[in-house]
Amino acid sequence: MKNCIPVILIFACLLGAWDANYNLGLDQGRVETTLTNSLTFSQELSRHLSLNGATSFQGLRNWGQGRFCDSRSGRGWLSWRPRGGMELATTITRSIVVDKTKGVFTQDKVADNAIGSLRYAPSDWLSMTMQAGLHTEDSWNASHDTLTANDGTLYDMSATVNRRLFRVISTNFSVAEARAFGNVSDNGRDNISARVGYNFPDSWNGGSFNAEIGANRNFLKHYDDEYRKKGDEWNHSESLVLPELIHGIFMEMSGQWTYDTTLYTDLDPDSAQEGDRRDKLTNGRRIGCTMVWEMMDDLDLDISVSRALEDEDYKVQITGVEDLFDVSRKTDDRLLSFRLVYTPGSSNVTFHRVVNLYRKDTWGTWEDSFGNIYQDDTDSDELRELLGITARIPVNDWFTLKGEMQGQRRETIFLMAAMSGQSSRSSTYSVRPGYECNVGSGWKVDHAVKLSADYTTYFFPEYASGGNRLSRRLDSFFTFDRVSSDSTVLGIGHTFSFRDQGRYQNRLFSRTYEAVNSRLTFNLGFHVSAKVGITPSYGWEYVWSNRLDQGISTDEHIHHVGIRSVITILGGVLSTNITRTFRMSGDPSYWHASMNFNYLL
Amino acid sequence: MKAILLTVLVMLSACSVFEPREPEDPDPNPPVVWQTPTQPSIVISNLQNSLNGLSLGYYNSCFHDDFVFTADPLDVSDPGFQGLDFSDWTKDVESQTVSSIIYQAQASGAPSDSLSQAYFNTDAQHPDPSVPYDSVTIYRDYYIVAAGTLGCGWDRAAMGSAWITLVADEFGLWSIRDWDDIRVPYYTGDHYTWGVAKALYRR
Repeated sequence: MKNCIPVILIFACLLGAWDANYNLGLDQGRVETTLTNSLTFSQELSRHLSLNGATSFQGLRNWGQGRFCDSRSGRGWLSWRPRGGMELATTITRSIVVDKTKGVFTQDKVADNAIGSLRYAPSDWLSMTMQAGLHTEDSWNASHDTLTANDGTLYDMSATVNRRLFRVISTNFSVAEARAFGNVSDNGRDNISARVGYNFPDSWNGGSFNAEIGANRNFLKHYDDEYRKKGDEWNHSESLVLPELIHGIFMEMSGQWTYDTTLYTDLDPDSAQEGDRRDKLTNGRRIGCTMVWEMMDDLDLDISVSRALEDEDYKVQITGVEDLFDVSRKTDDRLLSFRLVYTPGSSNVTFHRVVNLYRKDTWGTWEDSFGNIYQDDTDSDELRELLGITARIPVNDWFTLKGEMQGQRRETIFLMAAMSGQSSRSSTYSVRPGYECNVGSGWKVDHAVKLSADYTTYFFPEYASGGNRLSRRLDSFFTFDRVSSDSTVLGIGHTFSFRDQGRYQNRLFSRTYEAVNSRLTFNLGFHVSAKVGITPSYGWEYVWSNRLDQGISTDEHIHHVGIRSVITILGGVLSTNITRTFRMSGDPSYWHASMNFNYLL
Repeated sequence: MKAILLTVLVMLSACSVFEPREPEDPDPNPPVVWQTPTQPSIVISNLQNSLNGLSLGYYNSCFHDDFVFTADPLDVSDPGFQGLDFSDWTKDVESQTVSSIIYQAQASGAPSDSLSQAYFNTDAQHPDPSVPYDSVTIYRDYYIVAAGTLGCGWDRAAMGSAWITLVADEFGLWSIRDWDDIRVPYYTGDHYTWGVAKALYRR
């Protein structure tokens, strides 16, 4: 496959019109470096025939784990559309993974697929897909002396029928079945779903009802480990959009239910155990209602309320006890949100409020061989209340005021005695005024300042080690630049952040920590020609932190040097972005790079 | 205008459906000494204390919602651990596996002062970065015992190292976002890593 790619590319070039995209990325951090390459291309050989290819390479170096992983994949497919509604395709795929850690092969695997497929839509109400093929996967063990092969066949079939009945009822029915057989494992899935929709008569001023029911089954049978994993899922959902009974009021109600099981079966005929510790059953229900009220021409109100319940039943196994214990976890997610949007002229003012309660409970107990009974002690309630207003008001053609104000209350309550001492209430307030100003000739000033504070109190302060806590933060964002249509940037940017925190008791704030982060960036973008734009950039970052409680103060200067370019070449666009971070503290410096080439002829 | 005022009043109110429940009075002798995680080192200390106190709730509180655990590839490919699943390891998986370990240790019948033991030690060759502002990657050697468990009992303590990435939230509270697990040098199989000890209990 690897050798075929250049041949395919040359062949494609000779034929003329083609579409290609190439991406390259390099990302370096303290522990891990990743290099990625990908190329896709498409060639119209004739009006009915097209040749397509996709290939990728990823190299990953993890210094921490002493790991190097080389992953490559290639996929080529020839597509023939002899007539409208019919497509025949042949696809070949190969993927190679070589993963080495501390000199030991942890993965050395080659997988190949060859698949033939037919997509057929004889009319606008019926479509079918059929595909069948061969797959093979060869993998070496760690000592590289045993090769395991998993060869077999696969097929995938699906059919979808869409019919409209009596002009007002739409129906959809689809079935799908997929299997992959091998000598190490078999897996497969079956899906069936049906949907019906009814649109109320025109005289009702809108309104519709939709209902959907579906079932999915998937299985995995592993011969080596002698187990079978089987998953079943049932679901149905309904939604009702009411007609506009009162002028300007629109309402939708919806409900959903899912039932999901995962069961393991031991294929060993001597096994006597009933059930498996990995068995799981999940039952989820959700109801919701949304109302939109167009109160005036420039005033809308959205109200939505929903409740989602989920029960997850699972097993607990205790060593020395023969039986498995049935335990369940229940969650209850309640949400109420209001949104009032006022849009006079080109201004926009949004007032919003959200109330959300998330409850988590566990049920069931288990017993050790000495007769002691245990239960989970992580039950909790989490309440979040938010009240905010955002505004964007253009004062004139070149000056826009922006603002945001928000108050938030979060209560985290641990119900059981083991953790209830950490139950807390956080109140967060923030205000963010700002403005945008178009100075002319494409130059723009964008400036915003955000002030925020978080005050956390504990329900049982005598059990909270740090006492009530206050955190404050000031952030400033400033840019003055000119951005060309090809993203070449000339200008400066500055971000500044100051934060501190400490104990707040009896109106006395004892600060324990303060920190500053300031970054000044210069973008010196220019055009070499109409087709070549280059943006060299330099950023100076200063980081300072002071642990007042320990008397430790540290600071660091970090320099960010980079270059971005956008070049129109050979009818395509080549974008590159390379940055290098230099740390003055002696910590390692890193590279970040990305490249993209889009070619369409 | 009346409609707007009425709407705003309705928006400001919230009914009892959203009232949280009352907590029980705290245990006068809490199993865990918990500190507000205002520094990365406090998170590691809380993690250690939550394992020593066998408290799942406190253990979960050390982790970020986007937590990802990456097992040592040598464990993943080890034929001895072929049936274990190390893939897609999120905070939910971490919570489920560690809960099983904690339940097992609590029911082990070991004396209350010998139910568990955990240490996270710094390594002189991998010092912590000097100025963590909102993200930091640190190195720790660990030793974890939970009595009566398959992979980290007193006869087979879990030992290894980890590169741990922590992130701070908007107001400077830290939590663990990534954990890259590493076997001990000269691994013989006598001591599993924390990743294997947990994977033995994965559902």
